[in-house]
Amino acid sequence: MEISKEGDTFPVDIEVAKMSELVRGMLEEDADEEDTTEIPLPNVKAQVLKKVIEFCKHHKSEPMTEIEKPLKSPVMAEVVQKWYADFVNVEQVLLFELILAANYMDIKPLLDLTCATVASMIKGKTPEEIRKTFNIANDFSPEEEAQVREENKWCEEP
Amino acid sequence: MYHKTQGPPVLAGITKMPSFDSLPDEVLRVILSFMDISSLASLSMTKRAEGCRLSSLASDDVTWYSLVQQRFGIGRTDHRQHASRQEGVVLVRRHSSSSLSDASSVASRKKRPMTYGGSTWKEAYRSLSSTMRIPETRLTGSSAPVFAAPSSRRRFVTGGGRPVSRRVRAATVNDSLGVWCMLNHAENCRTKTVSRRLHRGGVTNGSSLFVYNPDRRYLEVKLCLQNTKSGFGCIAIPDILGIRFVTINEEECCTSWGCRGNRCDRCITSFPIVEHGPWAPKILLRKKFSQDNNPNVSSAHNLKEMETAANGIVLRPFEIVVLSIHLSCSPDMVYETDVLSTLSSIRVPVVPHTGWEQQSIKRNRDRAALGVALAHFLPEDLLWDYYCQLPGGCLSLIDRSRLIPN
Repeated sequence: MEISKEGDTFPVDIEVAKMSELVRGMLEEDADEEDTTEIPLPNVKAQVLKKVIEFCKHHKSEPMTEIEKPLKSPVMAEVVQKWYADFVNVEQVLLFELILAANYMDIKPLLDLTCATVASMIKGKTPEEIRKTFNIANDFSPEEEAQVREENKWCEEP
Repeated sequence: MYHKTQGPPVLAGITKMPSFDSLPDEVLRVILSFMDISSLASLSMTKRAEGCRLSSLASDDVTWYSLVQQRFGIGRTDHRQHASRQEGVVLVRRHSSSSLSDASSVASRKKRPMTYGGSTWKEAYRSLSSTMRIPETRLTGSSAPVFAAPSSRRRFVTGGGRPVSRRVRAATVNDSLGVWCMLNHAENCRTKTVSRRLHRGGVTNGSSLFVYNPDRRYLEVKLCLQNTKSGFGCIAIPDILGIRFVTINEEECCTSWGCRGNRCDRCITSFPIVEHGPWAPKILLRKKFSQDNNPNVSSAHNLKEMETAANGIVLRPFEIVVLSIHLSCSPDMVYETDVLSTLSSIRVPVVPHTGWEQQSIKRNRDRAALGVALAHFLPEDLLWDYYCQLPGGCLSLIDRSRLIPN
């Protein structure tokens, strides 16, 4: 049983909940209590926690394949199983919330998946496209930008 | 590609736009760890490093030191552990999920980028990749002389290297695959002859009987191949036996690389590869430099792959393979130097940008339009930097690792 920031409770199997290192640690601390343990997660919103639990449940039935580094494709479906690619096909806001939740709850596969998704949104894009995608303000002067571009020219790969 | 659909926010209560600044450094590092070099460069071009943590992390030493380790094998922990074990020093094993600050302190303490040609690790990477440095593994490294290297290696351009034939230039030269050639050096610097047993008895290989030619001499070369690009995808070498060792005289007339299949009369090579028997090409080492401490998964995967690909190899980004190849040489090639001074280049047929799947090799096998990765042999005058002639006509390899650099 996990409780979100808003106070909603989500009943979860122990095995599923243990995917989170944070929860596992909490469970081990009070191992004497039987069955229905309530785990408060004040930093995680209900909407996000629901997604996290959805991920953990699915991970039990179909474990996620390890994502290769560096990413071989900007398309998540070519990097990981379809279910997981669909799972992270969400609003950027929710994606960032998921990253923070995965980091806070210490769920490595989820952190990998969400971070890889962000990386996939950057892969193969020009700096201008990246700024647009992530709403980054350009603070270079035109001269500086030309210089930075020159400095990084060698990084271009076919 | 995953585009954000502009619409009402899914989550109630979240109104501000997400920003990379809301993520802690360790999370940003995880994001960066999935990126290739051109993505990192694009990222560092988005915003001033001072104003944006993500863009400053994208070009900092931790990120690039890790890339240097992955591609060039410099300062990798397994080397250090290996070396110190030899010296009888017990190393305290670091916790596998060692924190990143730990990694950065190791980076600054153990190795300095200045040694590798730059004041930062990003510059060092640039410098190392522009000279096409051979990756360090247990079989390759600074002590083993490299007799052929990719042509972009500056030393070969400025050091009186032979001009690349015009025909090769016109073809798709694939610079994503690094090719380096070393020798399995013999103590007396001589090429091998066939033992009586191999010659007379022959060995049955399935149904075919092969006999090594007692009139020929043989030289074992070690070929190191690496996918040197981080974001290019896989490179497939459809057939190891299609690799050609081209002599200076053959350089001009040879129109095709990997002549197998469409072997033409003009392309008879002086140094055919031994295809069968105990001297057939072998994979000596296969290494995927990954940041993850998960050797079990990758090695099992690689083994499976090797079984399925008969003579083909698929290299993932930064992946390295070291092959043992025996060349059949003419009887007058008694010394290693006779062979090395005759050879001009190595041509490795490659299929660029194939899918991840093994099947694509088979599909591409018969396709004529292969790319070719090139390595050029040292010109003869430079060759003698590695060998010295002893009284009585004997040759010896100079152990350059013991020489004090001037």
